[in-house]
Amino acid sequence: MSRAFKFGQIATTLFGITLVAFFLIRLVPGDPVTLLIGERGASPEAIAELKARIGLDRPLVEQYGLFVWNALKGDLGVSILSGRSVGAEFLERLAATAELGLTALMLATLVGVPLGIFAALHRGRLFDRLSMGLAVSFYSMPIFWWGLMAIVIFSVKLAWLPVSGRIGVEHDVILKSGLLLVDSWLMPGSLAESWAAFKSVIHHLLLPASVLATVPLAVIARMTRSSLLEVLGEDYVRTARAKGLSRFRVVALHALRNALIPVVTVIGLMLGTILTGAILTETIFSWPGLGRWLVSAVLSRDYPVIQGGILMVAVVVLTTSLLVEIFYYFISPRSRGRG
Amino acid sequence: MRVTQEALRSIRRNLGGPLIIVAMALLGLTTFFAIFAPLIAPYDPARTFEGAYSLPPFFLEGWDSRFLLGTDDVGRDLFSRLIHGARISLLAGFAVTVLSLTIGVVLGALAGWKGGFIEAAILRLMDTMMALPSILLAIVVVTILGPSLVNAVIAAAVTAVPGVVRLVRATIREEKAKPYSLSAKLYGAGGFRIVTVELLPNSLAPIFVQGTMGFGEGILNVAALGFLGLGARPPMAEWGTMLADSRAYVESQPWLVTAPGLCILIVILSFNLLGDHLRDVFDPKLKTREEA
Repeated sequence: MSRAFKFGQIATTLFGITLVAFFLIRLVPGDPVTLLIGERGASPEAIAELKARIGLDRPLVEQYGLFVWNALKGDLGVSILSGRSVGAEFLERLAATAELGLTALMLATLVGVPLGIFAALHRGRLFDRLSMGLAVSFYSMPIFWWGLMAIVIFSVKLAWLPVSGRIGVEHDVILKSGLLLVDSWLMPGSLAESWAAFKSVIHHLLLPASVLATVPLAVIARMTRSSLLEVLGEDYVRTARAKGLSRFRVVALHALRNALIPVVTVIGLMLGTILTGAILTETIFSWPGLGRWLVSAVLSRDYPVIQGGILMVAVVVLTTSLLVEIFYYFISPRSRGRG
Repeated sequence: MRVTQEALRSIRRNLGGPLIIVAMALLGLTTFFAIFAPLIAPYDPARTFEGAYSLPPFFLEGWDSRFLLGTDDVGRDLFSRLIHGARISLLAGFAVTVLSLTIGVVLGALAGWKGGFIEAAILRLMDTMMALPSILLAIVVVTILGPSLVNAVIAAAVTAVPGVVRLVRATIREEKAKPYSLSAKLYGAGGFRIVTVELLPNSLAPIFVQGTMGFGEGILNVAALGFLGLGARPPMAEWGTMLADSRAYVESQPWLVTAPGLCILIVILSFNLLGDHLRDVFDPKLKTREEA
């Protein structure tokens, strides 16, 4: 597949996303203006005036054209509800979701990969059965329920971790990067205060990130196990063993290198799963991220937020999968031949 | 005689470990509950008992022998609601699976067989749907149609379609390249006939596995929409909706939240175990690798 073709595909998909985001949401009964000022209480003239101000009185095709044209110029419009720029709001929310999602992905990788490796090395034995049983249970977990249970156990009963939010109210962190893990070090005040704020951020992250990590952890562990088992059956592994290399050397230096290629790919492509999980996790933990932002925008028919937000989410997802593909191209010589 | 022995041995071999038998037993039990829900459940799931509010289950102090698993905040019997919930969830999962498989197989077969522009158009449409987090797509679909159990099923089915399309397209393409496809063509069979009579029956195994996994995922997504208040409406005894309803009592009466969630987990876990096992059975390539 040529590079130009690939970019053509992505462009077509993005074009499709603009169509879906723009027209689907206008199929939803009820418009933002009526929802904003209520069905009663406003004169038809006032409603018409507000609609004209937002540009909702123009023909649909013209509105759509304007949306795409402005989006190409990097302007996603202004939220009807908050009056703020959609692009700025998106970046702010993205940072919150990224902090949660990347922490979850890191947790899932740090636990999932070793679990998969040990399961593969002890194939058929108790550890393998137990860990793979655990993995399939995690994979089947309704995380909206899991999150509630986690709150009951760790926040309410044991009182170890906070129930919701991103940081304790007593810390005055100023948003710079949007990632509180970073911003807690950039805040004014002593190092001790920064450290306290940082600890508070970690405390708030731990529970939602673990809940969000549940499904990815299972996928990564299972993928690592089956991939390593496959590689361990290859001739070159047998050759390495026959040369008299230690089992550790064979697994760690020879087999793992190839076995982890599909695992890395899966981790990269897990972004969609993370975002889906984030929508549910953010609802449970009142996390001010993308998921809650978009859901409340859909419920209040905030057209600019929905169309701009969905478009940007798609851009993020497609960019990541493209990066994964490029990465795959470089680390797996086999995929290059097919080009 | 020998044939039955062979059959028995093959069944035993394909039955897998004790875990698979437990999973199948649990699914059988759930199906039994679902079919005979009105006969098994002691009460109507929506019936409220005055004065019997928030009673604890049998293993806690102060339970009422009329209500085995206790009652919720408006005095409805939890046991009866869970049993009826099995009926709703299984039906919903079944509907999601049938709907998504039907649409997915038609589109996937079309793409795999025709190739060219039709294939590109279908695949781009699926890419578009997959570029959005599935629950977001489902939320948009449900807001358009209005929150209800049926619409949650439609939304969950829509989000499941791209996976089926990609799978069916890939297998049809693979089968299409095999000699028997060409020979059917040389016999003068039309495209529709070749796809439906020759290629699809040979592609059933992966579709079947996907269907089993999709069943569990369908139940999960419908429950998730119910939890977000976009699925079945209360007082309907849907597990996800029940979870959302009792969220406020998660501290005072944790069993109201624990029980429906456990039901969802057990059913989905059973479907996934079964799906995993079916994949091992149907994918001989994987199996020889495992045994090697």
